[in-house]
Amino acid sequence: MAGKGSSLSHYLNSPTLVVIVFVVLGILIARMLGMSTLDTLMTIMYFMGIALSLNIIMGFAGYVSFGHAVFLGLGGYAYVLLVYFIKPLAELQNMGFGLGAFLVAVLAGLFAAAIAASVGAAVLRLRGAFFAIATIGLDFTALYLMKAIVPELNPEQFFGAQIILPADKIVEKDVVFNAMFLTLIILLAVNYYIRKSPFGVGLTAIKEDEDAAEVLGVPTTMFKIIAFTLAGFFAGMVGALFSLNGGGVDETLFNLGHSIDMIVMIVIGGLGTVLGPVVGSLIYFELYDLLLVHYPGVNLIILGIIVAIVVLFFPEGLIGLLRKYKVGGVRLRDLLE
Amino acid sequence: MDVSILAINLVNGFLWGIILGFAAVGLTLLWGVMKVVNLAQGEAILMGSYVAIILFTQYGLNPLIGGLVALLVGLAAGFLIYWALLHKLVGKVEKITLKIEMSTLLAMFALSIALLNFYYYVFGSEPRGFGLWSMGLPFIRVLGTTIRTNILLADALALISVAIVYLFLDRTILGKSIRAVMQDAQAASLVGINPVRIKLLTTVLGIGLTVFSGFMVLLFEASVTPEIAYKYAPLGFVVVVLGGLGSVVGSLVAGIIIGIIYGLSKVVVSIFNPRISDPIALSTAFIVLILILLFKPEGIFGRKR
Repeated sequence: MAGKGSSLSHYLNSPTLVVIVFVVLGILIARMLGMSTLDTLMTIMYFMGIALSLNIIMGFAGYVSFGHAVFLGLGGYAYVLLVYFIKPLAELQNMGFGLGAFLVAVLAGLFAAAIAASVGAAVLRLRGAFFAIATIGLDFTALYLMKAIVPELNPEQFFGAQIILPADKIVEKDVVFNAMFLTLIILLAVNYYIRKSPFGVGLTAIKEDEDAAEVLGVPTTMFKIIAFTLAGFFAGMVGALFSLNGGGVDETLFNLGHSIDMIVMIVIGGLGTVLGPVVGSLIYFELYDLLLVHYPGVNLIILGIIVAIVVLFFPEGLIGLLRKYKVGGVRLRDLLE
Repeated sequence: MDVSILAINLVNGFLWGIILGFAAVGLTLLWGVMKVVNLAQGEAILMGSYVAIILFTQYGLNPLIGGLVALLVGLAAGFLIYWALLHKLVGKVEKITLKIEMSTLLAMFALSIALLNFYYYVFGSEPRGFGLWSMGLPFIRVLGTTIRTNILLADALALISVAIVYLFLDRTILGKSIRAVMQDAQAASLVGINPVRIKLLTTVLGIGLTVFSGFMVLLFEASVTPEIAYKYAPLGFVVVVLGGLGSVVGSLVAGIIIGIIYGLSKVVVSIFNPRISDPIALSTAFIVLILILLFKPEGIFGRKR
């Protein structure tokens, strides 16, 4: 598909782009018409955001990071501490209908990205389960260090690792919405670009056979570190805006449960695609809601069973499954990215 | 600094380390033989704790018998887990690739979500345990410090179990075939070892031992909540990586090392700031994990891969 010309009609032929635009417009329209509460839309965008951020390293490069919640937490803490202690930043986040908050979130994301790059340079030498375990270790290290450091920063105000932002340092929820919306659009664009670019092809090669990719001249180490850093950056941004939306941050942001959310969404949707996490997060959100309403208490038990079934019988997820079929003589494989 | 504080922390760390080491034996077998990382490790441990608790609180059964029942339940759970989850993914496969490894990781992960939330649903998040039950005296005094006898009982049981598992793997034909598959699955099947049977046996043994260790964890901790899974599973990974995949003795030694490092760093940090000693001490275990993964990925007792 790539490089077949760049006319508008060509792009309209790509269902992936159409779905992405549809989802983005859908969120915007639902927001403007007040069809859905702000919290619901924030949750959807948050789910989509974390799934798409992990997708860069897990979906494309095949490195399952079980501790990816660490970047949510680092981003969240970075953001909250930045606006707590630096007055100009607290003022900045109120400016530009969300653009200010977006810029502060970029700073928080850069902090998470810096950690991701430096740690990634080391742990990305590990493969498979060892990498997954190392990221869990990273998550717990960060969690325990935060528990130790945060109370020392301001012993009178911070109880445990929890920081609640005072009223003059939080922003209106629709401002946070705008910032999150902008982040999500960029994240979608980055995912789509990676999927289409030589960089993405290189990551796929790493996923299929890293040694062969290395031999064929893919700069595997650099590609992996870039992918991991991007994944950390965006997870950090989403974590930052999520914390701002909640008016503060505590250590639950490091919970492995958040990693569970991300991985489940990607697995349900389909590994290695852009549409996978998008569709997966929408399904997951609905499923989560539905199960919570109808089967409170056992909802997550059912969810676990669903994930097991998907892993055992549909290992490529929904999009992966669809990609095997032809519709009207057209192979869906060529259309769904 | 008071020397006795150091001594107490080191002894406690040592006693805890034995439990940590034994709890990771099942994990190291599964990982070493089948490349299956049991992400439901914490939930398997809790299974043993809760079985013993139910039998004690509902039926008044002696916890020691409850512990044995927990072992049997664990063996049965291993049988179920193999046929329901693992056989389809690794049963017939000769060489386990990274992709298959990822699928088993995700499958065990799904199991852990379901089990953990099952515990929350059935038992809630309040701590449960054997109450005041103990064998003989509840406490004994050693070198000016009191130690709960339940902890000593747990450690004794753990050490005996490790010895039995070690002898089983070292002396019996079945144990030797498990080690053979661990070293080279293809060569093992060439000499007539049925790999499916060994994988089934390993899963039954691995899950069974992990569930059994839940009984010791309960004796050690006095009470458990589902949260315990988040403490013991990650530490289990640290122990396995440090000890070397598939090494039972390595697992025990690594558990003790981690326990002692924990005790030691707790003492050192509390010189500077006692309030943050516990989180910092726990984080050292994970720093050890990352360092080991980077510089000696085969662990202390593992073979170079």
